[in-house]
Amino acid sequence: MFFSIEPGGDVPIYEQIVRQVKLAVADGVLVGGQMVPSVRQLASELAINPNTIARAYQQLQTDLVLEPLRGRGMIVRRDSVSRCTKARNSLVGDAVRRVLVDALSGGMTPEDLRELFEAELRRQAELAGPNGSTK
Amino acid sequence: MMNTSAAMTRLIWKDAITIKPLVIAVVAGIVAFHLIAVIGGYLAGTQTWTIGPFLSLWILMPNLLAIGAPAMLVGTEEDAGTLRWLRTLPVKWQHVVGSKLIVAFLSLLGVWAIASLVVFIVSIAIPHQYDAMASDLFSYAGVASLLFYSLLLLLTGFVTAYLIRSPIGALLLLMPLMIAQSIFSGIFAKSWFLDPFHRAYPVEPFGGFPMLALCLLGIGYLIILWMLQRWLGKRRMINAERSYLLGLSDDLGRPYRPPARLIHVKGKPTPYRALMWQQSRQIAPLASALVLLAIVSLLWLKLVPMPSYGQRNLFQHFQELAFPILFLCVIWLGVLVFYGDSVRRRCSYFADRGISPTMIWWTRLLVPGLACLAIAALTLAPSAGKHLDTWPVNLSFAGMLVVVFAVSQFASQITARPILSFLVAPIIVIFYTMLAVATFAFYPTYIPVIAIAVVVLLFATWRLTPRWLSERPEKPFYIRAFGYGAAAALVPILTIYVARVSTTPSFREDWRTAMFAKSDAWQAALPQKIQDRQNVEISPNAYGRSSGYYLLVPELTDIIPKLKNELADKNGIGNNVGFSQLKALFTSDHDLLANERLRDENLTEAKRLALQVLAKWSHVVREEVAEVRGDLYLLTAIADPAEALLINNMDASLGTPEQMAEIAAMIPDAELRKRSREVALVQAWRNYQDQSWYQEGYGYQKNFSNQSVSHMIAWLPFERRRADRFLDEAVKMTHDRIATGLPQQDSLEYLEWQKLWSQVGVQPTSTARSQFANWTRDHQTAIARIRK
Amino acid sequence: MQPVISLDRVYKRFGHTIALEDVSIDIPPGVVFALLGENGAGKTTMIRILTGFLNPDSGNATVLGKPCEKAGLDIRQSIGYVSDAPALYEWMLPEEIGWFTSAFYQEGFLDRYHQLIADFDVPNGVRLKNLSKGQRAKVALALATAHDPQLLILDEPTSGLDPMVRRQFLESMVDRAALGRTVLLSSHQISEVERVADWIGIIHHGHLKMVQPLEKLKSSTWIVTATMDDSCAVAVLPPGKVLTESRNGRQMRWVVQNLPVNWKSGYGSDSGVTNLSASQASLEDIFVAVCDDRAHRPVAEVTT
Repeated sequence: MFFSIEPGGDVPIYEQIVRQVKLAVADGVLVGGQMVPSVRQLASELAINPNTIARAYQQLQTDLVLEPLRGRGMIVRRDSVSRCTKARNSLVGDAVRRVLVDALSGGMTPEDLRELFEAELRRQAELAGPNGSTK
Repeated sequence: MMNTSAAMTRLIWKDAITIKPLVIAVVAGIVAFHLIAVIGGYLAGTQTWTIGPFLSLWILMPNLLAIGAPAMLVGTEEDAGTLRWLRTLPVKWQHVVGSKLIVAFLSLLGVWAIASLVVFIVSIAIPHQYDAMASDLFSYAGVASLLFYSLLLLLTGFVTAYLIRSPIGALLLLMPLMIAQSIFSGIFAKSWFLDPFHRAYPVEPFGGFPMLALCLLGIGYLIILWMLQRWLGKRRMINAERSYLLGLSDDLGRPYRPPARLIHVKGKPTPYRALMWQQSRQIAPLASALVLLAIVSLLWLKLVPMPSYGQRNLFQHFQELAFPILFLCVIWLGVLVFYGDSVRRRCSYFADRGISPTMIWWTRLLVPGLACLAIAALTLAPSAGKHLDTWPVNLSFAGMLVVVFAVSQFASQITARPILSFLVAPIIVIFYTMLAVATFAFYPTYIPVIAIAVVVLLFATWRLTPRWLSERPEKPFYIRAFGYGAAAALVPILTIYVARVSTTPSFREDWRTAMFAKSDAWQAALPQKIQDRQNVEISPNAYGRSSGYYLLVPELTDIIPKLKNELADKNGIGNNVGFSQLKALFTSDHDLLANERLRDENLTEAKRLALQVLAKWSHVVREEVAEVRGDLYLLTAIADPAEALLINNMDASLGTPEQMAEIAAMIPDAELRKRSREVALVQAWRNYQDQSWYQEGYGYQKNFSNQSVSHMIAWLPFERRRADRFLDEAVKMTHDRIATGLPQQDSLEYLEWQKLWSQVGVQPTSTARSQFANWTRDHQTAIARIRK
Repeated sequence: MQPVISLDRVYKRFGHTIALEDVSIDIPPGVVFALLGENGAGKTTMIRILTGFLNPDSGNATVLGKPCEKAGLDIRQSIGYVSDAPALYEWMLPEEIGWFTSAFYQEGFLDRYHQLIADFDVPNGVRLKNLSKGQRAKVALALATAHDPQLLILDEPTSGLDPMVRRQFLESMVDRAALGRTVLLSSHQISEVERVADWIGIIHHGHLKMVQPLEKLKSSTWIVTATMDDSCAVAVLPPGKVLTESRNGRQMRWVVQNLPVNWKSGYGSDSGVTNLSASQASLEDIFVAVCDDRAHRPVAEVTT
């Protein structure tokens, strides 16, 4: 999978990696049983400090997304999809919360917000087409 | 741990590649210069070669390498910053310092070997005369002292290179150190070894135990120097940079950064001022040091009186050093012109900004050029107690300095590696010097022509400046530079040749026909005359123009009977007395009296008789010549000197008026004189025309009256033609004046007539002119007076 | 564990300029330590002292346990050093300079060097003077890492290099760290530093202002922005360590370290503040906050 790291952003680098792995699992890009690159490999590929990578993997292991395969490295847990989906949803929830806070503190009314939300939902549905796919 | 031999191998390899350009330049110089010297010698038709010039080259070139090796090995690394990079590696300082010394030492030995080989080949191939100094040099002692000096130079060079960061500073410091060491070692060797030895054993050559001790001391000193440079090298490699040195080298290393004190200057400077300031900052310290050193050596040359013989004290002895030092200073001043901007191609700063190259060119030249002119002006000052010190000599010396400067500034621009230019410039100067010597040995009066070379070289650098600024020197640049260099060498020579050809007089067809006719007429009359007259034997004793000093008074015993016999002799002249005896009679009376116990009256009679003998000789010889039986040489060897001696010593006190009148009557009359002279001259001229130029060795030769014409330059066809034509002119002028006599000796006309003969190039010139000295009007009038 | 680099109250001056003053630091092994600072702050001086080019006027400096002043040769066996604009022998080919340098190191240097050169895509057979700047830098890096040094010191190695070459340098640094070696990096490419550094040290005017792990530094430094009622009103400083304060119209902004969770409590309705927000500071913000001489630094530290 491809990572997209923003070193100067708000989110710490290790957290970005954790999130992107979880999203990848949730989207099916990473499947259960698939090996993730070693710390050294990934560090070299992304030009990121291996400690950061290690920390991210540590976090993922704690979150029960990755598990070590003895002597070979880390693999994706087969039961992690649901967990990751939940994580993704929680991330979306965070994003929504931030938007609502911004909007409300900026002076938008709940009604304006609801209208905006509905309109956007409809638009997305049209774009998706009859299949209902959102990709 | 690291492998010592691997480390040394690689360091040596790296240092060898670094020094390669210098070695190549020096070896090329050796071969080229010897070749030029040999070719020049052949062209000049030199009969006897001296080994001297070759020896100078043999000594000079390896020492040039000894000067340059530390600069190249340590200086270039310092400039490029690689010495600093080496310090970041786990390299032992011993290896770095050691490898540089090994490479320098081996190169030095190699170049000595090559130079010796070349000199050996030259000395075998060319026959040369024995030179005492050469055999001194070729002995063990001589070679040892030369090697000692070279090693001294090399080690001192390393000492200064490690001591001073700036490579040029190191080179500059080298010179005073070498002077000091030379003087002290000279004083030391002399007062502790040579003098005591010679006092103890006055006759023997220096040798034995004292010699061994001196050698050991010399080696010991070299070892001390070796340790010193090693310690300084360690210091350079290991020690942290001292803070104040950082500040110093910054100044020299970053001339484009304006100094803090400029802030108060309001407004922007003019381009001229800015460029001048930048150039002075770059080179001022170095230029000042060079000018100082040059002035010191110049003062040394001028102020220390040089006795022409006898013992010289050490100051006078080392005056020999002053010349090369002075020249080296001027050469390096010339190199400074473009050096500052060549370092790391800083000159591209100008190219990037489109500043006028012409302005850059002359602002580079101004400061060093003025310094050089100042030094040259100083050389014009008279020096103390020197017999060679005349205005023309000083002027040509000053001119030489200017030319050397012009060559060096040219060399400075064309050498890509800045430090190399300090070593290559002397080589190029030597090359041009050899060419100049080769040219002006043949044409000494044309020396001012060398100013053309100066103009060409300055023009060359001006034209090359735009390219030098913008691009790395590549082939096109070098081709152009080579072209200009060749032009600087060839244009003066061509100018000389053109001048020679254009001043060749035209062919005098009519006059020559007339002369041939005359000569033919006399030749035709000759066979009868031979049968008429009996042979007159002319003994060589009668020749009054032989060489050599009359240091010993000739035998004058029984002179009077001899003189009487001579007068009575009808078959020849000079069989009884010789010219030298006659001459001796009229010189110092005291010697005569002491020698021959002649009394006054005998002396007077002897003198009278001698005068008669002289008159007789003159008469007889002139008659012989007028009959085409003698040549011009006889006339000038016997008749003219005899008459001169006669006139000078014709004294009324020597006899009664009748006796004197008798003598006067014996002198040949004007008519005979004119006839004899005319015949002699025309025959000599005819003789000359009948000869063809013949090859003698590698030169051409033709003789006019036993003297060779167009000395040394006859190998050029137009020179031969010129000599022929000028001979015609000179003979014509002389011939035209036979009737009236040549102009008086002091007159302008006489000088012009003399110049004609010098154009013919008869050697030796003085005798050529004195041949005809007695043909002048003065002489005529003097004789006329006597005969009255 | 013995620190790889240890400086103890190092002081160094050049004439009137004080380059380093009272600098003390211990860098443990296996860490990528980034030294940030403006030009002339003292980074290069410090590195020069560590590599033995300069001696401190007072204080001690040791590398790998050995004193920098005395044990230069030993130290240099185990460290690699790439300066900015490294001066190499321009006339050599890459393989020649590799062969040359391998003499001074152990076996294995040459093989690793060739491997690195191949990885870096440096063409063989082209003299160093004809290589591009980036390729020369890569050669210097290969020379400095081919002997697998315990400590790699890089002094602004990527200044003026293109992004591809910079990437290769970063990968090299990362490789070293992955092997457990230590890297001392002096740079002002903040984005690069953020990627690879474990620890950050900020030097300003010869003083070591801040030495912290990068993550901790970033996570504990915030930018607090307050909108005021009135352009002339003054607000209370937020709690924690305030690095800088600045004002623009009706807004005030502080860069604050160690902001407590309940920091907003200090701003009641009567504080004159209408809006308050805080965001995580980027490393660039932190750097500017520490090193900006023109910034206003309020002296009082408020604790709740």
